[in-house]
Amino acid sequence: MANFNRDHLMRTFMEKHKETDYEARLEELLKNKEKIYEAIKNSPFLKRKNEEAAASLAKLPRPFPWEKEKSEKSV
Amino acid sequence: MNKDIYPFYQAEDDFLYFFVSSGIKGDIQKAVVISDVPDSSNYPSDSVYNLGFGDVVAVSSSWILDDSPRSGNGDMPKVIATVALIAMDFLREHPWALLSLEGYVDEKSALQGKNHRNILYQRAIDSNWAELSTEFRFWGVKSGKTEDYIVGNQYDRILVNFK
Repeated sequence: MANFNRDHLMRTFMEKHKETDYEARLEELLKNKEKIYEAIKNSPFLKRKNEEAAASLAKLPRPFPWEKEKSEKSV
Repeated sequence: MNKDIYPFYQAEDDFLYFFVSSGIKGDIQKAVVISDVPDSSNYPSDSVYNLGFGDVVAVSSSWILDDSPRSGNGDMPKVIATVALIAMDFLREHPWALLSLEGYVDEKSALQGKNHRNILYQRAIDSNWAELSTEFRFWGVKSGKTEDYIVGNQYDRILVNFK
């Protein structure tokens, strides 16, 4: 019983420690979140991803399935 | 989704999410950015959003989101499950939105004619299909055609919205 309690306490402690550790690292990352967001928002990466998505969607035959569903619902 | 996932942080009022991948190579900062697809005369884009995901990399006093690396951190299923959960959270918060997902095609993927990140996205979707399909509607895009998502089929792009 004593062993079980000790193991349980140790596990809980380790999990808590892991969580705190993770939070600290996330905190470190979030220190610059506004700057990171600004940099990403205006990045060539995002522009490229969005252009690729636009080009890919533009090639698909119309109407899209979700448009068809909408127009069927509205009839 | 009852998978092992990383806790993530959503930047206030923005569609930007952060988390840290902790694996055999240490900590890698990750971000998911969801942005509306630019205007086009070919389709109504006002409700179509694109999901971008990658490593946050500091480059000469700024940052970039790099979607190309295979981090090799040994936790890819957990990372992908986190991205999938973020996507689902976004759709719950924005039920009018249609979300488009396409993984990065690296050299290895191109050589094999497979999009490995899509395969992982789909693995996350397929293994939680019973639960996800009650709440969300999925379509798959393959060879320029859109079809209702079929578990096990491989797609170039995945489209999803809230039912």
